[in-house]
Amino acid sequence: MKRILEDKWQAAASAVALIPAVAGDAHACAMCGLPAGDIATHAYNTSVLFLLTVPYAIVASAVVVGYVAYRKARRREADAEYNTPGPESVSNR
Amino acid sequence: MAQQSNVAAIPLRRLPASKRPKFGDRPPPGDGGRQAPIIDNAHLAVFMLVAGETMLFAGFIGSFLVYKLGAPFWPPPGLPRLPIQLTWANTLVLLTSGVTMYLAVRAVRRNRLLLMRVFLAITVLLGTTFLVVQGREWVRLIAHGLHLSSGTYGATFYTLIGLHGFHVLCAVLWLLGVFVAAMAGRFTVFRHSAVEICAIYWYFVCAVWPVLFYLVYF
Repeated sequence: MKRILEDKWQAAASAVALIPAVAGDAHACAMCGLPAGDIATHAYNTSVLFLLTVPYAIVASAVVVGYVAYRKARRREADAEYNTPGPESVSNR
Repeated sequence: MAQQSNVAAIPLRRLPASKRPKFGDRPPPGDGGRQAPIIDNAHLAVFMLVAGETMLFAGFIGSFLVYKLGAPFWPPPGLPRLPIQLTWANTLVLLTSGVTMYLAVRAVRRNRLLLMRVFLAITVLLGTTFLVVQGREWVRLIAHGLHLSSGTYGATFYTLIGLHGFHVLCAVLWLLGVFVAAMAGRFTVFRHSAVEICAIYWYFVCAVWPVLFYLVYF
């Protein structure tokens, strides 16, 4: 058990030590691999981020529209049940 | 024995606004008691259309961002600047048309059909005004030397703004069709889904424009 824990700590320490070595690549654009600070990199990064957000925004809007429509339908059903006369009022006509 | 609803027995104008039947309501008992769906097919179709159009505009805006943010100077030197003040006024015209479209939908939901026709006519006029002003702006820019072949600046400007202008043109034509149908008395408080789905598309066209205006003109 002690041996396993030691191995885990060693693996974690190695991973932390690797972070500064790959930090430059991590900041670069995933598509073109240009270094950080490049104006083209910034442009591509912004564009990719924008394009990533749009589908999520569409799905979120669809959920909101569906929820509002569902609430309206439930309200209409409740109104219709409230307005439907019972057997007593029908027999009184 | 089929039950009768109190909604049908009372005249429509005497009902409070919340009790008046709206589009998508439960049909009368003679229709077999079929329940209305949560979202009807026409609305669902136009929502899917709007989602697709949103992705189309997102693709164009994404490519525009690459060109704009990747260029050291934007707009490039030597090319004419875009008329911001005139476009501000034009933006106001388009947003006002969105408000009048909303008022038209509200009027038909409240059974005020004459008011709906008036607001539809105003919306058509405002949309046409937007297109005419955009057209004049384009003519002036072309005269000042900004062409489709004037580098990425001219190409992205005419492609992006032209795409929106084409959508406004389609929306105005659609709106004209709805207006003609409204003048022919085709819409009632129970049956006006054509007005509502046209309004959804019009709201989309109005909502896209401020984004394009901010990105392209500033």
